[in-house]
Amino acid sequence: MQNLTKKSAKELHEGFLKKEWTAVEIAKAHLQAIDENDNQIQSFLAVFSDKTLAKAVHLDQKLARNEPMGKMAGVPIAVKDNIHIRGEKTTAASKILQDYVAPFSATVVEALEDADALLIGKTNLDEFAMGSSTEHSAYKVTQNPLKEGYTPGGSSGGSAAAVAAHFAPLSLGSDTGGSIRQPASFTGLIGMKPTYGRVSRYGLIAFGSSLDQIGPFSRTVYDNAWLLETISAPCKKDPTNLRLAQINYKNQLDSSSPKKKIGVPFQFLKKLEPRVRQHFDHALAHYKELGYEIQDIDLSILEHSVSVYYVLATAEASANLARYDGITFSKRNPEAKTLEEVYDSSRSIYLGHEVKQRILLGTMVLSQGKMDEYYMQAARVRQMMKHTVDQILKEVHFIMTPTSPNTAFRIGGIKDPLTMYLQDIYTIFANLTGHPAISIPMGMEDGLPLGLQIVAPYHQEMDLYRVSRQLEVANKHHLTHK
Amino acid sequence: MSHVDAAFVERLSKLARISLKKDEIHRLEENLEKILKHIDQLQQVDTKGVEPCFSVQQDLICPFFEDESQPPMTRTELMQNTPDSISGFIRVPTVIKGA
Repeated sequence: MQNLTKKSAKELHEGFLKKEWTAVEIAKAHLQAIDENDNQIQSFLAVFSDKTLAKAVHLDQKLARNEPMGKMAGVPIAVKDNIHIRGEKTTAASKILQDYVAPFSATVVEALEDADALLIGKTNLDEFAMGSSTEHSAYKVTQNPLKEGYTPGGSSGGSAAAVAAHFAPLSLGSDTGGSIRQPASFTGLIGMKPTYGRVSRYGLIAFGSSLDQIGPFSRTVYDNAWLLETISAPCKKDPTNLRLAQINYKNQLDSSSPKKKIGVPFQFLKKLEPRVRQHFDHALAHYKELGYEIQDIDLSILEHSVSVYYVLATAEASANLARYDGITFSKRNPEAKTLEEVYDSSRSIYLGHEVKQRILLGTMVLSQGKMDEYYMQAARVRQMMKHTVDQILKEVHFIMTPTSPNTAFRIGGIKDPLTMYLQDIYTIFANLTGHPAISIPMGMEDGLPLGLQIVAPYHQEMDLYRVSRQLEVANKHHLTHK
Repeated sequence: MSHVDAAFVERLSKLARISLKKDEIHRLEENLEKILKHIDQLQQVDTKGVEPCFSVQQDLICPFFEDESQPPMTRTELMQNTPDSISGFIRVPTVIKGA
């Protein structure tokens, strides 16, 4: 029997339908890989072995009876543990939700269940998705499967590591400031943050509601496109969901397009490490060869993006996390004697340092006397950024930058919070403006991958996949000729 | 620029309803000082006449839907994560003194 964990989601699904292998064989191969190797990688917070096998048995029976099959039948998918699966725990990697069992499923999860995917487990993250390394999980530190002792990035580090380690061909993450794209860059995967409103946030634990989007991790562009088209099912339960028609991205990946103008903010890349710059220039040169036009664009406004983000995201977080009060559904300090103590001590004991820091910062920027200086000013600069990026994306079809200023860093390597926040310098703006953005591998440096970020106008995810596919083909060609 | 000291952090911790230990206060003082120093560069941006943006959907169309009823979650489902309850009600420590 060939190793099924090496196969893409597409291959697994097609082989299952052709009866080359069974759903049970797919499930067993992936569960076994987790069993053997996740004690080193630590990507999962929960693995649903019994449920996954039961579902696989059911799918094999359905296939034997020639019954209609879901569109992603037999494909194992890992889910970030801030997305609800009914009847399973959702901890958000926080102690305050240690015992929380989701009473409903996220819309994206329902879509995957309808598609007969195998939801194999819940993955580790920085507590409440706040971080860039997955070190801020209250439960475990996830390793980068490509190099021991290095982080997989964050906050969706568990989802990235699970796919990079071949525990599943696909996973879901969430991206508030780069939490899908940066881990994708660090682990050599494709990671997509869709247009704000494309994918339902219903059942995603809120961090920064005006910034959060759920999106896919994969090892191939095709698989990524396939998962996005499945999870972008229209949803009435999220008022910000645009309920757009689902687009069949995966079948149009190799179609030609006249959109060939790429904008690059060269000024903004001045401080980039030469080695990262080299890989970036190499990727640009490749697009040039394919007939793309590279144009210098002025995105100097983005020097403020980290500041704007840490005002707005923490403000939204301080409001969103007020619900964890030890009263209705989060963990309560059993020692608390008064109502005030229930609030103050439960939040003190069960929230981690980074989360407290962000709640305090958010509280400050919304407090009387400071709100105009910080929150309103940041919201105004956000408007300027949105306007600037919108205008630029009328002149060019894509904006390209590296995804991250560096390759994966060592676990424990960044102690200073500001240095950690600056990890997201290239990714944040797409959350502030709402544009779709993807990270795709563009090179390797000392055994660690680097990602190229591509941003497109609203709703142009198809273009992002098409242009990513061209680099994927080139990379494969490059590798086979090595 | 906001001056960050222990009193400032403690005031925020009261507003956010998170009690903090001494060493936490100290660490937050240091970190918040650094972060605010960075964030303060925003004050230099001329935003005169710019409307604040709270959601990118200001000009994306957010559709309304029919106001139709849906089957609600049961009380048991809703209360399954409640840390302390009695006969279907959430229980909290006594609020009214002397009662």
